[in-house]
Amino acid sequence: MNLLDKISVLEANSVTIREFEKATGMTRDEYLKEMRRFVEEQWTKEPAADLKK
Amino acid sequence: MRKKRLKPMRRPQDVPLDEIVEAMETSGKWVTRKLKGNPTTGPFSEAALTEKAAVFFPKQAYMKWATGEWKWKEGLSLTTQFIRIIRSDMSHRLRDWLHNEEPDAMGTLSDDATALEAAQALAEELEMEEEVKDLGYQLALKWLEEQPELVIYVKLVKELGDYRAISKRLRITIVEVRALEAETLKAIAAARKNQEQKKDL
Repeated sequence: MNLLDKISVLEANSVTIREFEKATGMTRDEYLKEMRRFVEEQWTKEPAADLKK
Repeated sequence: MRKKRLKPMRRPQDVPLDEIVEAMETSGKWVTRKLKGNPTTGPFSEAALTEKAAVFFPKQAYMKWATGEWKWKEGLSLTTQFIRIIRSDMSHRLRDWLHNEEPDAMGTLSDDATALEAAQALAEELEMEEEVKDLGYQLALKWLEEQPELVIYVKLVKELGDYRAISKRLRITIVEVRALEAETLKAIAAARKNQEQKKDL
């Protein structure tokens, strides 16, 4: 990891849970659930797209 | 000459879901830091994106990675890749938005003018980061050798994991650490520009 990438992670890790929840408008648990739902939704779309080929 | 075969990147479905979600969360936090919360106007508002920025951009990053639109960079973690994707995305959107924005004809300081100034500052910050993103530690240290306090800062970034640890080591506040960080990135970007100008001569 080079300098800027390390700094970027430092910046991200400096965000408190409270700040993050305020920025996202959801609790951390809700956020993680939403991201999980989104990714799983993409995974179910892909096989369907493959069938159409 | 034979082309070196790179290891194929992991398919999105082969990466554990927990790892993907962790990368999305960390990159979402990076967005929060960059935008200083959730902007209510401008190109990164919920009105513009249809979702809050810290929710929208990690999803975009996932899609660009999963569809192969983003060219995978060997040796970087998924989190780092997502942050890089988002930085590039934000930089392009901001530039397009600024290009389309009309300046205030009266020249008075309105809310829009303040938002415009903030957007221009962020655009410059993101562009500067884009320019130095592939710079290694050794070259950064070489370019900063005339500024020992920045050299110390870079070495501590490499060694330690968070602002609090750096602040403790240097016996300065976290605000002062962030100021050092801003100064370091500016100095590196300036040194890089200087180097390129010398090459052109």
